[in-house]
Parts: sequence; C-alpha cells; structure tokens
Amino acid sequence: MSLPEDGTARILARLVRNLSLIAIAVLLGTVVAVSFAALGAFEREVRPALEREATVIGTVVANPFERALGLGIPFDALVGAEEYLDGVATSQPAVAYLVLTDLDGRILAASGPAAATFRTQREVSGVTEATLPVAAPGGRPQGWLLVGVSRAAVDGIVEDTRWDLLIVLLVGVMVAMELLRYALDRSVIGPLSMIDRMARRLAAGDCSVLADPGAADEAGRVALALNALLRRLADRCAQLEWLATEAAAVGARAAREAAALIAGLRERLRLREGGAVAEPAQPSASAARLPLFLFVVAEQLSTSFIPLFGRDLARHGPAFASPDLLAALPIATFVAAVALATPWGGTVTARRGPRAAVLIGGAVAGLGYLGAALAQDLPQFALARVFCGIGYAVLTIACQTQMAVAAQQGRLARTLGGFTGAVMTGAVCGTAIGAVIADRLGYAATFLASVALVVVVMGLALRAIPRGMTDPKAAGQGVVAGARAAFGNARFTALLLLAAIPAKVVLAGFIFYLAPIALRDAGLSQAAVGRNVMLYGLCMLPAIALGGWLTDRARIGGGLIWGAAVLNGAAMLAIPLLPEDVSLPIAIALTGVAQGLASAPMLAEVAAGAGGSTALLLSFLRLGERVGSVVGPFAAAWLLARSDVGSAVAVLGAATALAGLGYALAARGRRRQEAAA
Amino acid sequence: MTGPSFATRIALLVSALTVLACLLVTALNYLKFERLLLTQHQRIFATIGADLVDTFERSMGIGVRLAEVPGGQALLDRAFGREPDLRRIAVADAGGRILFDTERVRIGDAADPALLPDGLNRRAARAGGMDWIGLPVVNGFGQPEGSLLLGYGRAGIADRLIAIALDMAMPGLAALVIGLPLAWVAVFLAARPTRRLFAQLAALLADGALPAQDDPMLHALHGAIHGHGAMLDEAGARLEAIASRAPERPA
Amino acid sequence: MMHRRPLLAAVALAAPGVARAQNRPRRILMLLFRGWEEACDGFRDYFAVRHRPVDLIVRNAQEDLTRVPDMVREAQAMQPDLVYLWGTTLAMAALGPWDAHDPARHLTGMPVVFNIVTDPVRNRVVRTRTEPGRPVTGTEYIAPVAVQLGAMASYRPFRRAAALYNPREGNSVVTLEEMHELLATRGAMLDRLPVPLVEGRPQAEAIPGLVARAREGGAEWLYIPPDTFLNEHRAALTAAALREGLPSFSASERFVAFADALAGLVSRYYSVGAFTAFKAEQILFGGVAPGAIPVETLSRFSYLVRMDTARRLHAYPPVSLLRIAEAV
Repeated sequence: MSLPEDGTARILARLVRNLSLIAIAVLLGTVVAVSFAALGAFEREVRPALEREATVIGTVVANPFERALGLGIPFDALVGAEEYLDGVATSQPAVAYLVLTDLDGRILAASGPAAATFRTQREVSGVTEATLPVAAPGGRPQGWLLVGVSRAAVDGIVEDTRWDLLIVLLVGVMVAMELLRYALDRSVIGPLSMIDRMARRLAAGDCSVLADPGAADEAGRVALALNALLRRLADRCAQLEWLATEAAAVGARAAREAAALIAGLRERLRLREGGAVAEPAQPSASAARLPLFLFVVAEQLSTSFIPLFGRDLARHGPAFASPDLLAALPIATFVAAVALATPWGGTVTARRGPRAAVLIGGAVAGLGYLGAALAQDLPQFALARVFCGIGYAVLTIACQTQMAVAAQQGRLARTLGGFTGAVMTGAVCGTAIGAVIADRLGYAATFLASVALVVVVMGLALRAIPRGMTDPKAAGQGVVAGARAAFGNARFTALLLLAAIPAKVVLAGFIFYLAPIALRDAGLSQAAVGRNVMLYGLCMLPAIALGGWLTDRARIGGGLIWGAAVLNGAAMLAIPLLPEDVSLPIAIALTGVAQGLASAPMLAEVAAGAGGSTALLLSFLRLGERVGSVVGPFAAAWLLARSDVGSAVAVLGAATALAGLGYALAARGRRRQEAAA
Repeated sequence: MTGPSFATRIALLVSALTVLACLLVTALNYLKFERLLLTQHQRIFATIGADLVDTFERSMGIGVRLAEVPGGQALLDRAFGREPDLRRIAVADAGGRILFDTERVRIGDAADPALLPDGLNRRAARAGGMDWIGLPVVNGFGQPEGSLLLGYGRAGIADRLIAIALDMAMPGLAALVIGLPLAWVAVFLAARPTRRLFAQLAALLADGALPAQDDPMLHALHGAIHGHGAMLDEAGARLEAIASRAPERPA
Repeated sequence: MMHRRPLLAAVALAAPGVARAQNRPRRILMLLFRGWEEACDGFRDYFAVRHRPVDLIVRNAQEDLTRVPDMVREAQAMQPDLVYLWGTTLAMAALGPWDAHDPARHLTGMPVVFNIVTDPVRNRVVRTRTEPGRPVTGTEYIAPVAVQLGAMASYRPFRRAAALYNPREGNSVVTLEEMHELLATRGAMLDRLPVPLVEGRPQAEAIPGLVARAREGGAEWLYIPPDTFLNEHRAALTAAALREGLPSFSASERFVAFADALAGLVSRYYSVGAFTAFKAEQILFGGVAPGAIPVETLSRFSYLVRMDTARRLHAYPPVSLLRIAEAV
C-alpha cells in the first residue's frame, strides 16, 4: 500500500510560494514607502540650500557692478555687462540664468543656459531664484541682479538615488530570497519531506527507521508521535515474541510454527534487531546554496576597489613599472590561483566530502581576506589574493558537487542552475554592498567584513551540510589521472571545447570588453554603460531557471546547449542591422538569455556523465571556463587591433554559432554511433 | 503544545529582513543626502573664499606686500559678517604666519600646517570641530605668496539633516508598524493548511483517530496503521492458539 | 672602542659648522642706476618674508655711466655670491654684449641677475631668453606686445590704432614694428607717426599735431610705447589725446598714473623686484645655474584704468575688466 503522490507535494509547493510572495511583498512595500518618504523630505529641505547658494553666487557676481557704480559709472552706461555675465555663467555650471535689470524690472543683460526662456517667460521651471540689489558701496540700489540656480545637480542626485534604491531593492530581495529559501528548507521543506518519507515507510510496513524530531514545532510533534507509534509496534512485537517462547514450550512443531510467525512478522514490518535507528541524514541540495551565496558575496565585496587598492599599494612601493600595470597583479594572481586550485579542489571534495572541503576552502579564504586587510605592500596583497583564490576554487567546487550529488531525481539541471544563479546573485549583491562599505568605512573594513562572512559560512556548513558524500572511486585517482579520464571522454571534451569555452570567451570578450567600448563610442555615459552591462546578468537569471526546467521536464538539454550558442552568435552578428544604441543592449540581453538557457543543461550533462567523479569533472569544466575567460579579452583585443568593434563582435558571434553547430553535429554523430552499437 | 510553530520562525525571519532592509535604505539615503548637502555647503564657502583671494591678489598687483594690503583686515571682517556659518577667516603669509584674522588674538601666530594649501592646490580639512578650506594666494609670477583659510561650521545644514532624518524615520516606523503585523498575519494564514495537516497527522498517529477531512493520504495512512494493528492482533491470536495447545508428546 | 670616540667628537664638532655653512648669509652686490626704489624694495622684501639670510651691499651709479667700470672692478675684487643690476643702460654697461664681453671692463665669473631691463635679447645682454649664453638671468617688465594688444582689445576692440614715437629710440622702433606685424595678421592697422627730428632731436611741439593726424586717420586707440622722450612729455601727449577724444594705452604706468592716458597694462616695479628675487633665490639657495633660469616677465600684470579720463571720454571699461582692473 503506498501513499498518493500529490498530497503533501501540493501543499508544500503552495506554502513555499505563498511565503515567498508574502516576504517579497512586505519587503518591497516597506522599502518603497520609506524611500518615497526620504525623497519627499529631501526635496523639501534642499530648496533653502539652493536659495542660499544662489544668494552667495549673486553676491560675488554683483561685485564688479557695485565697483563700477562706486567708480561713478552710470548704471545705464555699464559696458559689456552681458559678456561679463556670459563668462560667469560658463564658469559656474550650477547657474541657470543671470539677469541684470533696472529698478523697474527692464532687462539690461541676461545670460546663462535658461536666459532665453527667462526673457520670454520670466518664470523658469526647475530653478531656484535669488534677487540681489545692485548698488554702489553705501549707496541706494539702482537695479537688481537675479540669479537662477538650476536644480539639475540636485535632480541628478535624486535620479541617482532612484537607481540606488532600485539596486538596494534588488539586492535586498535577492538576499532575502536566499535566506528565506534556507529557512524554508530547514523549517518547512525538510521536516515535511521527512514526515512524508516516514509516512510512506509506515504505510509500506517499514518500521526500521525512527524519525528525527528536529525542532519542537508541529513537524517535531508529528515525528515524536510517529516514533511513539513505532515503539508501540515494536513493543507489541516483543510481547508477541514472548508469547512465541511460551508457545514454543508446547513442543517442537509449535516452536517451528511460532518461529515462522514471528519471522514473518519481522519480515513484514522490517523490524530491526536492537530496535529502530535514527534515519540517516538526508543530503539536501539546498544545504550548500546559502553558504555558497554568502561566500560569493564575501568574495565580491572587494571587487569594486581591488584595482584601486592595488594601485595605491604599488605607488608606495618601488616603481619598476607603472602603478596601473602593477595593480593588475593581485587580480592576475587571484585568477591564476582559482584556475590552478580548481582541480585540486575537486580531488579534495572527492576524498573528504563537500562539508570538509567547504571548511577547508573557507579557512584558506578567510586567511586570505585577513591578509588582504593587513597588507602593507603589493606582494603581500597579491599573496593574500592567492589564498583567497584557492579558497574560492575549493569552496565553489565543493558546493557545486554537493548540489549535484544531492539533487533529487529529475531535478538535476534545475538544482545546478540554482548553483549558477546563487553565484550570480551573490556577485551582484556583493559588489553593490562592498562598494558602499568601502566608500564609508574603507578597504580594510571591507576585507574584515569578508572574513566575518566566511566565518558565518563555515558555521552554516557545519550545521547544514551533512558529512560524508565522498566518492571513493575517484578519490584514489589524483588530479592527473582524473584529467586524463575527463579529457579522454569524448562527450565531455566536445562539451568543453564547443560549448563551455566559447560561451566564456563571448562573456569575457564581448560583454566585459567589446560591449563597453562600443557603448561608449555610441555616446553613452559611464553609468549608462554599467547599467547596460548589468542587462546581461538580469536576463541570465530567469533564463537559467527556464533552462533548468526545460532540461528536467522536456529533456531537451542537448538542444538547448547548441541552440543557445547559435542564438547567441546570431544576436551578435545582427548588431549592424539596427542603430547601435538599440542593437547593442538587445545583443547583450540575448547573450544573457542564451547563456542562461545553456548553463544548467551544461552542468547537468557534466554531472551526470560517466568517466570520472562528479567533483573532478565539474572542476575541469570550471577550469576550462576560466581559460575561456582569460582568452576572451585577449582574443577580442587582437580582433579589435585589426579591425573595428563591429567586426570584432561579428567574428566572435560567428565563432560561437559555428562552435554550437559543431557541437550539435558531434552529438548527432555520437548518438548514431551509440544507436549502431 | 511544546515549542513555537515553524510559522513563527518564518515570520521572525521576514520581520528581521524587513526591519534590516528599512534601516539600510534609510541609512543609505541619509548618508547620500548628507554628502550632497556637505558638498554644496563646501562649494558655497569655496566661492566666498575664492572671491576674497581674488581681492587680495588684485591688491598685491598694485605692488604691495600681502601683509600691507590696504583694508585687508576690514575685508575679512566684512565677509565674516555676511555668512552665519563662517567661524573664522585668516590670511597667512608664505611662511604660515598669520597676517589677518577675524580672531585678532591669533595675528602673528603660526597657522596650523595641516590646513595650509598644498602649493597651488586648495586643501579641504577638518580640524577643531570645524571644516576648513585653504586657498593659495598667488602672486604675479605664479608663485604662492600666502594663503587664505576659511573655517566654517555645519550648524546651518545640521538642522536640515535632522529634519530629513526625522522625516525619514517617521514614515519608516509607520511602514513597519503597519507592515509587520500584516506580515505575521499573512504568514500564519499561509501556514494554516500545513499546520492543520500536521495536527491531523499527529492525532492520527497518537490515537488512531480517523481524520475529519477527506484527504487520501491520511486515509491511506490510517488504513495502513490499522492494517498493521490488525496483523499484529491476528498474529497474537494465532500464537495464543498455539500456546494453548496441548503439549506435544516427544516423538 | 677607544678610537671611536674622537671620531664621533670630530663629527659632532663639524656638524654645526656644516649647518652654519648652509645658513651663512649670501652676499648680494646691488648696482643701482637711479638709486633705491620700489623694485629694490620688492627684491629685498622677498628674502625678508621668507627668512632667507642675505647681505645686501648697495652701490649707486647716480645716473652716471662713467662710474660703472669702477663698480665692476670692486665687484671682481669682492667676489659676491650674486650681482644685482638695475636698469637697461646699467646692465648693458656692466655686462657688455653676450658674445663680445671684455673681462677687463665687464663682470666676469660670477652669477648676475638684472632687474627692470627692456628687451635684453635685442640689447644683447643675453643670447635668447632661454639660452643666455652666460651665467646671467633676470626679469623683463614690459608685457609682451601680443599681451598688450589683447589688453587694448579687451577694453575696446579696434581695427585701427596709431602710435607716436621717437625714431631715435631703438626700443620703440622695434616694439612698433612687432605690433604692426601682429595687427596685420589680424587684419588691423597701425599708423606709425614718428616725431620729426631737428638736428637729431625730436620736436615736442609737433606732438598735438601728430595726435590730430592720428585721429583724422581713423585711429581708435593711441598706443604709447615705453619711450623716454614721450615719457618726458607725457602730460602734453595724453592731454592732446584727451582733447581729440582718442583713448590712449600704454605699457608703462607713468602715462596712466601720472598723466591722462586712459589705460595701461603695467608691471608694478615692486612685483618685478620680487620676481627677480625669486630667480636670485633659485641661484643662491636652490643651487640652480643662472644660465638654466629663463628670462621672463610677470605672468599677471596690473591693468590700470584712469577713471577721470574714462569719464571725460565716455569710454567706460567693460564690467569684466572691472573685476581685475585698478582704478587710478
């Protein structure tokens, strides 16, 4: 007898969805309300400040007029007043207009960007005005000077604040979702699944396992009741056994019958010798997600200023190369450390399990951040970054492996898509938060915040990730043997060379290198360029989830991989068709969508592949992707040096599309081989 | 009823996140506005200072030493009176010795070197509870001949900042006071079906009570439990039967 | 151990001596032409304000060039750290041309700065302003011609200007030639009106007539070069210009401050003296060779406007100019 499938699953899904919606709604509602109040308050308070600025400027501007009057020049004989005001207006960008009038208000001279409007309308919107009398020192006013200060600077700040608000909301929602996901997992999904499992066991007649009461909430009470029931059943069996010995005393045949009865009972109820034992810990695929997210946040806190910090340190040290060049050293050492340590991280995960690997990675990274906070010169900082890189590589591989191994049946792609999603949201949140901390508290404080976060991550890992989950067969392999096994596998190699690496080449070469250049050439401001590049991330996130779902449900993972590559290439090739400031953002967005769609299927393909341990395969995939990230900018720069931006992008796009088609052909060829065999 | 419900934990988490988010947004906005107002405040005093420097430089062009600029002290006093936040204006010579000062006692002393401009570049600093701007006074051949130091306070904008802070805090508190209870209610409402399910499960497991609802899973479980019970009863009955047989004669 | 103490003691004794050597007052021999005036004030005060120890030894030629050889001999005997020369004629007499200087008559072998000198290149005091060809440097006090033209135009733009001059003063001839070329490139004209000579001497009576001719010729400005003859008759010259309603501009402050010219772009002697001291400081305390220091004018001049003349001519200065101009 078995339980129907949907009951608890449906309730669970509805519960999770509703709780998430409530959390988002409350968060958004309160934050938006607070921000609107803030903006309103600011508008009210800023007006007097602008008026004062206008008055001060006016006092300074009026000096020569007053001097002229004091020297006896008649007011209506003032020469070159407008040229003078023109000069002032140019040097004071905050000024909207400067107008000199006589006592009756007749305009003698007007200057400034809004002067023409003033002449016709006398009222200019968005401008705060101050009026000053113009008189000889100690004399009576002979005219007026009107100073209009534009609110543009203030409006710029308000506009900026709206963007900041958006980013804070985004970051806040992302962090809240991760924390909520974790809390739901531990408080709701875990216990509910456990209850579900236990109920199924009970229904099927399996009394061998006790439930874990967990917290003292409703689920815990159910678990206790369940355990009590199981004990009662076990007691009854014990009583029956005693009865059986009594029956056995009757005679041999009776004993045999009794024993058969008891054995049958034991069989049916699967009672264990020595009583039921606690259920072994269930690996949860989400156990590693929050630690991963927090760790990526910790790493990305310093992204916004590492080159600046490096340059400052380089300036204070011996100058055998330009500080700008030396500032790239910490970045290079970090990337190199991550690349080289990734396979080793895979081995560690395979040998000791993800939990231990996370702890090791966290400890190394924590030391790295501590070293960065204390670094006094460039070599120390670069060495600290090496530690950070090693820790990053080990920890991310450990988390990725844990998620792959613990993913539920039929949800592998979605779960691994969650890995990429957590990394990306962590990057966005970390960069934004880190920029604010560094701005207010300084670089060292930011690194110390990273250390604190890493400690939290390690604590979470201790609690949430179960022990074990090692891969004994791969553990014996070692890195080199693992590499040979991985690259010897044609499927893996095809995926790596024709799909994964081209995708990263496009990311690093197009999104991070060529696109900002092209956007700047099209005339966008720096802030606008940044926002456009963020489009990539924003479009990628939902695409990851969609790609994961499609792979699990519709089983078109392979098609997604090469289809997305072709879509990506097409988007890049199509840029010249529309004006650049429209087609570039579209291409960036489509690149994000394409790479998002392909991300989960790629990971699932590797994780499910034979020919090596999951951990090692994933680590080699990441290594390959790193190579792509490094090659990308250089390839793009090489192309750029030989032609213009548009052609460089087109070449990259064509290469990606061709690689995708190549992958499709390779996959078809393999399928035919397998079918023939 | 032993411990708090899981809904409590979720509601606590949502509340904590909301409060944190509100605090964060308020703090960020406040800091941004503070910086804007401070920058504008500084711009105003930089304008006043530049105008004074201009006058001194022009006077030096007449051919007098900085120390002998006619009406130098009066110039400072006049400027001082016009702006309420100005706390002190001083003019120092190339060696840092104060020539004119709105605080007359300090004339002749050495100016604080941390405030003096760096060559031909102006310097902004904070010392003794005041903000300072140090502007160079440049002579006719492009060399610094002295410096003008302007010390100003933040009283003017402090009021504005407090007003902004209060104006942000009140609606924030209101939003929390309204939003948080709503959130709690919503969370518990959303959790109700699940809690009911758990309660029924617990009752079923404890007493074998048949659930009131027509939930297939509960019914199946109920059936299974009773099935096990019946099986054990049957086994017990058969064992009793065996036990109550007559003892077998050894063959 | 025993050997070290005497060594340390020797070093300790020597140290203040070294320090004293650094702070030993530098000796500057000042050779003046017309006596001590504001430029020398500027020179002296520069060192005083910056607490630089200098010993100023002053010798006055009292406008008599025959005294110069004696002063030169005294200088050679004294071997001061620096020699300061005031005025074009004195500088030419004491230094001689840069490519033909005679060690018997001219200063040799010690650094020299000159003050209040016009056109040191044409007067062959130095080879070029950046390459003097000898350990000599100094300051010029007349603004470059282009800057003067700009100053005139910023008061009132013009297409045609006129200038009177003494044809026997080489400085004036050269200045006006340069001005004529510059104006020609901008499509403007300069009428050069030499004062007629009788027996080699310029006739002051001709001045009003020449000014009238300038006016008839359509000139919008009367430019007055730094000409000694014109300086002597500045009252008549500027009064004539005023009568004709012609704005007058000069590069020398005497015409504006002590006559009726309308405006002038001048260097205050005090500031020029201070600038010369700045260059001297680089030689004496900065260890820079005089030949490496360029001969320069001030970077910022004084724009003088005579308000009385402006009122009478109804030619008021534009407001932008009032920010920087001084009213006299």
